[in-house]
Amino acid sequence: MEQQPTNSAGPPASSTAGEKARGKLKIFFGAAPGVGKTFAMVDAARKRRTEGHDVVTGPLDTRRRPELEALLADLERIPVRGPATRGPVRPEFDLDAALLRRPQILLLDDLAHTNAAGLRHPKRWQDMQELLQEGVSVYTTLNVMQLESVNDIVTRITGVTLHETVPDSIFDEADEVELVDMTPDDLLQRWREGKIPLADAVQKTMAGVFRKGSLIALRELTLRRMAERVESQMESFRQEHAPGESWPVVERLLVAISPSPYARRVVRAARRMAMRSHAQWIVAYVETPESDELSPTDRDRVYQTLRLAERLGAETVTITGDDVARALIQYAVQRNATRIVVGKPGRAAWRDRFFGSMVDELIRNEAGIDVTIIRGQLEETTRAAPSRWRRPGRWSGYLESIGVVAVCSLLAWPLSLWIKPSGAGVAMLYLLGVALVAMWWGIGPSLWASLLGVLAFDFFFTPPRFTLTLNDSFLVFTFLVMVVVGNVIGSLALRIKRQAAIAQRHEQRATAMYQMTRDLAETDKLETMVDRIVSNITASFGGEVMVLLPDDDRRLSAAALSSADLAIAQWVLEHGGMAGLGTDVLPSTELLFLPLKADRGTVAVLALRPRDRNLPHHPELMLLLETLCRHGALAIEHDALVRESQEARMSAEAERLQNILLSSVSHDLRTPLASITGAASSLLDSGSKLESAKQMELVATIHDEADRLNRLVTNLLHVTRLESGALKPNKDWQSVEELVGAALNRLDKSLQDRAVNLRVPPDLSLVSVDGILLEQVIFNLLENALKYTPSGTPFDIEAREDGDHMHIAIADRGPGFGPGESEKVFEKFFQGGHANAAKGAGLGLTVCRGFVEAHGGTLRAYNREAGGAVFEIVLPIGGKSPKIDLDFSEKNNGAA
Amino acid sequence: MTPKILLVEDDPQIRRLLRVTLPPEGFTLLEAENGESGVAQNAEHNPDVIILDLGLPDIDGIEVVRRVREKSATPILVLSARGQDQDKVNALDAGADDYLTKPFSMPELLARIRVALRHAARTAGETAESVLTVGEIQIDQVRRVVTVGGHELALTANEYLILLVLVRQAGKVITHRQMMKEIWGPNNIMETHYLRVFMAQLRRKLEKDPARPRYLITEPGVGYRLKVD
Repeated sequence: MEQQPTNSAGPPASSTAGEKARGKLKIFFGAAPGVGKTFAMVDAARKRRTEGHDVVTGPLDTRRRPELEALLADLERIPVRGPATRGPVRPEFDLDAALLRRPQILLLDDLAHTNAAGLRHPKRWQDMQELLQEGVSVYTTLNVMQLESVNDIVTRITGVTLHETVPDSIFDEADEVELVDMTPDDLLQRWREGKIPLADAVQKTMAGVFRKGSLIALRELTLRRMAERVESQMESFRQEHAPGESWPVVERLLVAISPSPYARRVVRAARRMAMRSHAQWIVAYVETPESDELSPTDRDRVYQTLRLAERLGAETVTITGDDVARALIQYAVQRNATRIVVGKPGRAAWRDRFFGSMVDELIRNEAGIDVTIIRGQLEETTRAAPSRWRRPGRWSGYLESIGVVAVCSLLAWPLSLWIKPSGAGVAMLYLLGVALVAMWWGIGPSLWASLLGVLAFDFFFTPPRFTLTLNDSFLVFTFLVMVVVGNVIGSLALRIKRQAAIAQRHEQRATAMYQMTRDLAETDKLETMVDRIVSNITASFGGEVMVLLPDDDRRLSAAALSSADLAIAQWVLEHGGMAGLGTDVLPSTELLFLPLKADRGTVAVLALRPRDRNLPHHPELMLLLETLCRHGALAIEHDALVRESQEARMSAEAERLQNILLSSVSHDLRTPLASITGAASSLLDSGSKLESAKQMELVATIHDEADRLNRLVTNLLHVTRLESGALKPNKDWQSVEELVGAALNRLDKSLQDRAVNLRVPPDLSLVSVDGILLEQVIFNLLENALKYTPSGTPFDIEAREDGDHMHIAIADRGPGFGPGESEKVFEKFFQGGHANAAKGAGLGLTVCRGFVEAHGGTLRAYNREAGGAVFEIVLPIGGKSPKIDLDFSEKNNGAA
Repeated sequence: MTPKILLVEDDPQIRRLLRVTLPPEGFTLLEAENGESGVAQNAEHNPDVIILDLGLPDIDGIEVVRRVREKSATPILVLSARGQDQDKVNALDAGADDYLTKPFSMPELLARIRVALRHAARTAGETAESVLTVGEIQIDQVRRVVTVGGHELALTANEYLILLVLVRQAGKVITHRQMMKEIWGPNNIMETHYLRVFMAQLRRKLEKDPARPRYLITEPGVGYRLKVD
């Protein structure tokens, strides 16, 4: 028996010694349980064994599969680990025993299996990885439902959620995957006959899998995974081995279009082909030096055809090249196209015979790309509108040719006197003239110039001079030479000129794009971005440019536009198509509207009043314009995405805070509620049995706790207003004395045993604040002081002016703050450590600081000399305190 | 005859509370669970006091105040929740007589009802007593003399008028707007800081400790009230 492995999954027989080569993984892959994966695996393993490999098997579930038992009879088995738990458990694989045994190939059924608790790895596929690491090759089985990435799809298809899955990377990186397939009908048959080996526990849940619809879908999923795998292998193989050639794996069509009106038909036909074969398709227009001669109508037609293709779902591209066929083939290879689709050219057959046709050249390509020719029905009988553009200078070309010949004759005159014999030199001069005419005005004028040249040469310089000898052979010969040589030189020169022009255009296009990209990359402000889009497009196209951004309701507005133009812009925004000047949507306006389209749709509309009204008929310019628009759109979209993600972060943060608030509050709300409910229910239940003192105590509890609840809710309301940003101080000129008095009045009862020392100067100026809020601040600070200081200790309240600020300090003689506490007290839900009074929610001081800061003031806390705490409010007085003309108002009153 | 009190309130618990607590205090309770029914019952039963919740399910509480005022001068006591500061001021300016913020205590409510009843009686009698007395404060309206605990106070015209307005409606809240209207007439509504300054002066003359006033109580954001014990 040959010792060399014939299968890539078999390790070299000599790999046992020396450094450990990594083992290979082979997966037997199927659509569902019961397709015969395990059989296929055991079968393959037996073959390997007969080839001389050292094959051992791990645990295999042979219940309901007596025939499998028979197959396994002569295979060595790793002893199964004893069940760690009682009950019907699946046999566990003993990794250590396998590593000790170290076979060449190990069979490890059911890769997705979850190991029993206490084993080295939680998952069997992790065992497998260790085996591979140790140089043991593994054969294993897997069904598509166990792939992690398709888990949810499987759930949708079958209603079954599998919890045992395998990462896709295992599948993707397996050295070999063998598909084990079975038709859904056969599989269903086996299911009905109870031949599918399933644990009893899952028998019922798997019912969703064994329906015809599910099985077909699963099978398709399996085949697709296989196909993807095969394709990616092909791709890497192709890149490694033959970069120049095209490998037909997924069909990709390259559709070439011409300026002909029938190009649309080609595009439509190509689309049908692409749909039929699920192929990708690219529609290409090849720009050659000759494209320069196209009429505006033809240019427009090319452009419209490309747009049509785009609408039909094609990728469109403009390629530049000297030779259409060569450019197409080159591009096809580059893009890995499998087929080139062209329309039947409308040229006369004789031209093809002489000059060779593009189609011939395509068909003869060496890259092995198929060529499909779409036949235009009318194309052969009716010529399309002349595709050569009659340039306005054409007739003048004939006239000017006469001038060129005349100049040649004048130059030749002194030459003919000086150089003898003069014939050849003079003929050369005429030849030069013809070449120039050919270069400047094309073939017609050059023929005309040749004829004139020959006649002039005959008349002026061939003896007998000043007579037309009209020697037939001489005339014909010279004429032919002039025509041929002149035209060859001229067309070469023309070609160079055109290439230079194209190169220059490309250069401009690239520069414009580069400039735009760079400008946009430099800014992250939307307004700047829009400005730069406008300035870049103006730089490239001239005229007036405007970018319209939609508002939150996706409406556009611009004062500079008429309502009709604005309506067009709105249409463009909503439909994502071009409109206006030169398009087929509302072309009557002077403006051209383009959508700024990015991945998520139209983000803005560009309005352009071009300097050249023919702009929409220049496809290359339009393509540049669209590219610039696309760049702009991407930048705007990127900006929007950045802002959205910021907003999302902020709202997530807000949500987090809200959750903290909720969880804390629900606790703080429930505590008083519990007391109230408890007291009230005991009064309800056994009120009459309780002595009246006890009853009063319960009632007092209810009252106090309700009070606490009220304070909590009040503060919560304030916190919510502060955090939602809804708090806008309603400022008015207020008297501090009055507000302090109001707060003290509210706390009258609780303050009965406290001395409150007030130092508020009578001439203290008014301060511009929201009276309700500031009174609440003072109230909360006093209440807080009441809570945290021993009863009977005094409070000191002082107010003073300091320049344009008002200071209000509330001081106590309590325990003061511990280290670091004086700042923490303002945090939400902070509870003082030495509270003996009823606790609040820790919101009162948070509210105070929020209110003060809403006024542009500060609230800070510090320890007082000789013990106690001080809370100091500093508020901007808010301008000049209003002067009161007391005398005036008294008089005024007196008069009233 | 016991005074009739109309309670316009959609919350059944509050209605139940008053149903239990008011009759023993010598009041007859009428109930309406929405604004429309409140307006109708006022017309039908002519209650002595209306207790009106501002957050009604059908019509705005302020609208109820207006519709009641079109027909009668029945004192209206407004119940407002916290955060409805502007609503209660609007209700007061629209003709409501007083307010209480929920949650309120029963003694407070009873005190307000009594103040309202007293004012209604006085307005009905309108005998223009020449001497008004609240606690230690006495105002002789004919002589324009104010004494506190027997000592005469030297008040300016504005101070006198402020005090007079408050004493005439002792125990009732007077909004800034109402106060200015009373003092300077409806066409001379000035900035509220004028009031604050006059009030501070008045306190300094009237109160022992102007920062902890006994009589001249500030209701932040609403107005002033003369406290009666």
